[in-house]
Amino acid sequence: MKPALIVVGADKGGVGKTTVSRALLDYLAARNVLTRAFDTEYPRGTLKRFYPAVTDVVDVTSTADQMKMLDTLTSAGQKVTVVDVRAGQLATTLKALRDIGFLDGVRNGDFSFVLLHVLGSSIASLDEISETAPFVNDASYFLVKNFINDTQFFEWDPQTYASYFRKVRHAGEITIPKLNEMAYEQVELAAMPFASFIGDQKTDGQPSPHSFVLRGYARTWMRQVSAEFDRIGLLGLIDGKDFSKAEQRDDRFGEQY
Amino acid sequence: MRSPRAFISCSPLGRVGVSSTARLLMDYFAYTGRDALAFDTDLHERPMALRFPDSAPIDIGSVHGQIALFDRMLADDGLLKIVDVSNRCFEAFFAVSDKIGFFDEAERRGVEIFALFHVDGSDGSIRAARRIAAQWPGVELVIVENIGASGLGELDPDLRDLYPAGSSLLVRALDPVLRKVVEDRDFSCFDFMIEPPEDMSIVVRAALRAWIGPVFEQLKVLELRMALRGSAFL
Repeated sequence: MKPALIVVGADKGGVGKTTVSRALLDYLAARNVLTRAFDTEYPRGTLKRFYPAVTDVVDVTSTADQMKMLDTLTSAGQKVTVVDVRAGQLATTLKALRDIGFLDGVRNGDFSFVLLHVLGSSIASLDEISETAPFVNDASYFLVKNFINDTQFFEWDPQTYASYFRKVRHAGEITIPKLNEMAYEQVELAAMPFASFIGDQKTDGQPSPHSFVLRGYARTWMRQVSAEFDRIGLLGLIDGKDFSKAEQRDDRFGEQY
Repeated sequence: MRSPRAFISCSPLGRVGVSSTARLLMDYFAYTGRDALAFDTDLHERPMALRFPDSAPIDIGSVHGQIALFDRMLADDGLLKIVDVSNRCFEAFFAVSDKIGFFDEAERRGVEIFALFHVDGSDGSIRAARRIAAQWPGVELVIVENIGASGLGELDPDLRDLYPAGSSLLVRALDPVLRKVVEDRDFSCFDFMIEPPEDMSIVVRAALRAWIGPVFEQLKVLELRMALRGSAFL
């Protein structure tokens, strides 16, 4: 298995990037994929709060931290690296990946690269697609509609939407469904992975008496999210399978528009 | 030690005796010396609270209500749980149960669930019973004909055969005089079976015993059957 980098990002804040990263880390852990994570919410680190054992907080604009993330892709014990990019830094991060030659490495088949671009409801999110497009030719690129915080993608006029997607025709789409607010809030308060919450365990493995109902909602949600990751063949993609040839390719945009 | 148990008295249609059966269950458990907790899902009428003031009101549409019901049903707290699922909440109750994986979790925790499904022979009722039996085979489906409360009359055997096979409970028809006694808010089947009122007509007393006795007997058989099924020595 070649080293894989999964970047979760958006230029707009509050669209649920960290939630997607958390679901992703749980998904990979449940499938026994050793993963490390970098939280670029420097210096605070939201992702680290939930996954302290596998997460480092880094400043993505610092060369030292870029080295920490990328120079160790091959040498790290975990072959999958998830980077949760803070709001406003997706384009900067992609530019940095290009400038240091990582994207060339992806083109040469040295690395797998998956980009999960979390979209907000505003038209600004569509502009982000144009900014991102030049960097993702060799990536497995997915646009993530995150409904977890009840987002309605109402601002998107279908024609405008189509014009943006034409620029990234190879993009797939992932839909993250809504999670019951109270269940979401409880996981937030508990500051634990979704999997631990569902399994009714504290981070140290001790029993943690959370409501079965809330755990049930979280379990169903996690199952739906996992089904989405399965649908796009995520495990195959991080294993180096060519997304453009993948059976799971989502051609909804191409066909529809 | 007995497994925790929960009884769901339900039907997708109204006026088939769902609350009356739930009440009989409460009286049966009191009669057999066991503590039980009732849940009212009909917030408009709260039929269980009329007779059992400790009954918990449940708004199945709210997450708070769902926590108060489902978490408590799973709790091994020594109480039997009886849920009166109003026909207004029938779909919501089973939809939420499905969404949160309630029946799977109950099976995993060893909580025995009885669904006392009240029949009326309608297509909707047959479909709903079949759906429960197919979707949750771990649930003990009990087909209930509560003629005493519904006044529907005995179900045609051909229609009865359309319901899933399994345990059954028959609550016989009530004479109008007896019905009046039984429906009195102050009348308790438990109190009656322990100590019938001295001022009650001997005829009425005999008739009530003949009506309540077989119901309690059937519930006892139902429990014994479950116990035998779970016995490691058979």
